[in-house]
Amino acid sequence: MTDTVVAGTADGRSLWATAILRLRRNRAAVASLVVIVVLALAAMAGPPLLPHGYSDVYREFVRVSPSLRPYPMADQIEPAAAATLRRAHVEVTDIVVSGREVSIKVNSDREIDPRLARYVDRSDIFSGARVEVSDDGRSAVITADVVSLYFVMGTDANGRDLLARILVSLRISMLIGVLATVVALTIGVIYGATAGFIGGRLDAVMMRFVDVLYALPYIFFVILLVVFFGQNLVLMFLAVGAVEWLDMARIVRGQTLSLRRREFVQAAEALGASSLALIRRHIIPNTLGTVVIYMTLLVPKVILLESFLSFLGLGVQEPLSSLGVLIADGANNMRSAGYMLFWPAAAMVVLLFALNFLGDGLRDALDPKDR
Amino acid sequence: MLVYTIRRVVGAIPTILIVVTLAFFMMRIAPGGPFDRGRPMDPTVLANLDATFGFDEPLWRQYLIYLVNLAQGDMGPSFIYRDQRVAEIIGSGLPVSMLLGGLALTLAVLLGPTLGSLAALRQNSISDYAVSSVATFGITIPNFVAAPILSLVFGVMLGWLPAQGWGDWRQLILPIVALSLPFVAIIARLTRGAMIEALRSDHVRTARAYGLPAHTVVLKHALRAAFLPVAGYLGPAAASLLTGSIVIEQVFNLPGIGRHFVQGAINRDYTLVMGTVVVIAVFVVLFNLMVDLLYSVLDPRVRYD
Amino acid sequence: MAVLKVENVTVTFDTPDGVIDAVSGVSMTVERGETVAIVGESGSGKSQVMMAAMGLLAINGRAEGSVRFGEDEILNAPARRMNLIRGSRIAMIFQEPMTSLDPLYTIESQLTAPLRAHAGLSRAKARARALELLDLVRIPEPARRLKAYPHELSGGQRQRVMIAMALSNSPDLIIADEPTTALDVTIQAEILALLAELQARLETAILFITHDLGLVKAFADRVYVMRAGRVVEEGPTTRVFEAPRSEYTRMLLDAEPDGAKHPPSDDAPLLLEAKGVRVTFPVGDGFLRRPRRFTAVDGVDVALRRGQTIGVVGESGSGKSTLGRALLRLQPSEGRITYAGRDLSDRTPAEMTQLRRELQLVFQDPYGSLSPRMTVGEIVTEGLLIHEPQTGRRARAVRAAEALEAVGLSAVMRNRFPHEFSGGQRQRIAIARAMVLSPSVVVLDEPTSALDRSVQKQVIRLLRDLQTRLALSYVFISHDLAVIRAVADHVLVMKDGRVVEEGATSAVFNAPQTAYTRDLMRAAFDLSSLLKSDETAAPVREA
Repeated sequence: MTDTVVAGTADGRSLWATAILRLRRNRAAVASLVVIVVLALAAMAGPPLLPHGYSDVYREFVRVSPSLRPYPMADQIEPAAAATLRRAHVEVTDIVVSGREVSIKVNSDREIDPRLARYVDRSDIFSGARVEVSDDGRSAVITADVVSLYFVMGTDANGRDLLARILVSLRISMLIGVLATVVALTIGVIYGATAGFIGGRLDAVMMRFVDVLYALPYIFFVILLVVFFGQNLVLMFLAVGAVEWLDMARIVRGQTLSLRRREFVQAAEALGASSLALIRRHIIPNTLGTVVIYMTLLVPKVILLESFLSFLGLGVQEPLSSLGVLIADGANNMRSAGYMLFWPAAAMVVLLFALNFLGDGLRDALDPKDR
Repeated sequence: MLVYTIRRVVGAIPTILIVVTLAFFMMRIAPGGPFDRGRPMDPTVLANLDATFGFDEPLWRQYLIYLVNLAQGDMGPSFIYRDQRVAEIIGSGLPVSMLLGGLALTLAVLLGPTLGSLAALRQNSISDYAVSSVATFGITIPNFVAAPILSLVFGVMLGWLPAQGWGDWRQLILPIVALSLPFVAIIARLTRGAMIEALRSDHVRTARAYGLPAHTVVLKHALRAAFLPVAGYLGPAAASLLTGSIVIEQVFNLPGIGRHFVQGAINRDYTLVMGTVVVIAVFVVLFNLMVDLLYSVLDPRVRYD
Repeated sequence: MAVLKVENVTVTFDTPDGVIDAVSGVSMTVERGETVAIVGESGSGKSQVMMAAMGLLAINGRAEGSVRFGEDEILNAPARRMNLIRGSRIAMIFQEPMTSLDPLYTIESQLTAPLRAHAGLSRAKARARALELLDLVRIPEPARRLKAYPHELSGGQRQRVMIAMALSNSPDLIIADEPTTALDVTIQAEILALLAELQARLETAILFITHDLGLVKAFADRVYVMRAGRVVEEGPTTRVFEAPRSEYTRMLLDAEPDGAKHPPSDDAPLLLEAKGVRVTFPVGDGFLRRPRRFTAVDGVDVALRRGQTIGVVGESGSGKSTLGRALLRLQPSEGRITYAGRDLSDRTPAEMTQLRRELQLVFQDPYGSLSPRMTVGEIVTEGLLIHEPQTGRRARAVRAAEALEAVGLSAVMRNRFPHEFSGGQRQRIAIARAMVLSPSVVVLDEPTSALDRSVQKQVIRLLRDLQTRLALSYVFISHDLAVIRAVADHVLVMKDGRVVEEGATSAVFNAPQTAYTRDLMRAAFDLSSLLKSDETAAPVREA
């Protein structure tokens, strides 16, 4: 009989260890994890490394399309140079662009003031302007360096770098996602575990209350809350967290209730274990898997909700930004600048996909059915 | 069944009352009011306005007055749209939202189960993977991303359909597709899972073991069982349909009640917001009741008495 | 002439863990009008042979070989051709009457479907025939039952409906896959009697798939014994039972629990005593409405002496498990329960915790009774954490090792997790957990029911050993009379929450006093006489 044969090694593999092994075999989940880590790093450490701040405005570069080459483009330099001197009362006779340097020949019927350089320097495009006035003082050559500004994802309608804004948005979205999830989780777990563990009449009353809340059109309350009590970040994640705890409470309550009926919990009771010990040794470790799975699925939900509010103009306020705000901006400008919709939407989709795949992967890895 | 229906309708009244009360006090406790935007107003004008709209009464009396009026079907005048009753505004927006939501839900209920069954019947085939990937896309991509992109691609770039606006049936197509996308996706995924389980179930095995033709086995025994979770999902779906339609109405510039709600909230138009909240709460409750009744028709094990 | 001829059939399943061979080269025949049994333990592939033959394998299954029905080759035949045979010439009855009928359709709809599909009957004619069939399988008020949904019938009635469905087109062969396993013994006997009678009348061949040797002996002309996907023995039933040729068959026949428990001496002290135990449960969700109460245990007395084993037998719903829990005060109850002369009902929680180490419990399901997230060592020594908190980690490991060795497991297993063990091993772990505190009373709630017969016997032997070594007293709860006869010296027979008969094991088993106990005994030990006696007289117990 195989009944008493010892198989394999002496050290067993816990369900968590097995789950991690399984997760590592799931390529989509691993890739998603990598994507999430990269996005998180970029969102946290990226903005200071970028040449442009998320609120820096470049008035000369409103809605420029994404490019890997520096702005201004060669063909933009000439008209820009001409534009700088438009009010300088000089006649521009020739503009020569050589690489990232420009020399402008000007004539005037009056004496040329070397302070002419200021007109050029005032522009965001040029710097270090030097004026060489000719001997007769009626003509001059202005030489200036052309700045090299990189807008790999273009700029928005205010001339702000889209990449910087997307990274800041990601930071805010992820922050709200995590914080609101923690809020929802805390409320939900405590509420659900209490109802499930104590059971009986208290459970019936507590769950009926949740049912009533479920019947409310909660999204409207979130909107009311946000509109009427000011639009700040803390309130935002409190509101979102306070709404999303219902599912968590139901799930944890169901788990706790079924665990209470499981024979291994009854066995511990028969051994004389106290309620505290039951919760600590049996209930919590066995609900943890579900909670983790639900958490990874809740984060994208929360991010979505926040972006939804921001999309409506009810969320994060200028100059801060969120993916929802950027997408709404993009939608408003899509006829002239499709990339303004494309990049934030792409960032959102990649983030949501990665989070969902990771959640699905975790669920498969921790699936109690496979036990 | 009739008794149950009546009891549910009566039981819905407290829920709606809770919604109304919460919304009422939440708005009123908040700082700001409908008339304090822009320049400060002449105090006497303000006092006049307050008297006209009853703001000089204590809050609890205003609440009771509102309830009494509401019970008589009067939702009051709008504060912002002068000379318009809230009932008129909602009356003009509701058909738009209902048409949009109704058509989107119909599309989802027709398309979702079809795609899901197709995937389940040809498990691990190309069509299965295609349906599953489309479903993943539909579930992951939110309305407010899908809607502008659809509008951009089909309205602006390809020019096949109008990108925005209301009035022509062609202008309905993009909003409905955008609104129903996530529901088609979720229902397709639900159906696929339930169908695979149903096809493996003992009673389907019995039907096959008794030589019933394939279409009977699939349609009569498997699909009906697989439709049960879909029916169960329709209740929550109605609520998120409302959320979705706020976005859709904004993106496609449609005159539905979702826009009135958001605009009303931003403008502190108390009565308009209250009116939309009441209508929406009634709608959600009634829809849930209908779904429950439908469920009991589909599943004889569930009997309400 | 053979109705069904299976030749060299192989079944494999494609799983994520690789290809699994479920059946490897099995051949068998069923002659016209004959009753043949395939017997084997779980995982022997006994069901899969016939699923393959009928084209009903799961989607990842593949079959090779040959299956002939009369002259036709039917293995892997297209569904269209199979549908001419399935339900018409060969009909099937499945194990789970709960799930084998579609819950969403009426009995009429399901019973008439094969009649209309194969015999081409009109709706009205099919309905008339369905009524006849329900009458034939002796379902009372058939006209009313036709309108019913499956969940409105009892398990036995549902299985009768399945039989009616099987008979509807007068098939040449009925394949019955564990048709009575999910039913209580008395109902099982009724269903078997019905099948035997109908077979004699209609001269249909029956192929029985079962794990129950008693049933094979009473029912089958010939038997195939299967193990791990192969036929290890075949022959006429009487020959196989009297002179088994294969080692495995001998082991199976020998797996019936044997031996008897001698009662303790008359001066053994009374340990656990219960008087008038009554347990009720609220029905409904209890929200804002006064719940109705359902009485699960109704005035039961128990007196357990040191070294004694009281067997509690009963069918599902008889209240025997609830009684076991109430005795340990894990379930609130009315009545008086005393342990070693002390009343348990007015103990404070702290005092009760102290007493718990002497009162232990072992459950039926070895899969559910061990926490999946703790190591075996942690599980076994959990009681020490509670009752001997001063024990250090090292000392606990030593105790765990001792306890595991005491139940016949290796000490090195203590760092592994429950999901890595077989059912029998898990039950040993559960026993070790109960024994580590050296209790004096152990309630065993169906401790062997989830195990295969061969493993069951070892666990019983272990329990018996431990009882002698540690001077334990058992309350042994089981629906299995053979097990109770082997382990208990005193028996309570329960039905609907009450004790209907009580006495020394030998007395109850040799001379049962009540009709109910006699029915139980006959169904458990004397199936053949039940089938061969005048079957039509078999009582229709169910309303």
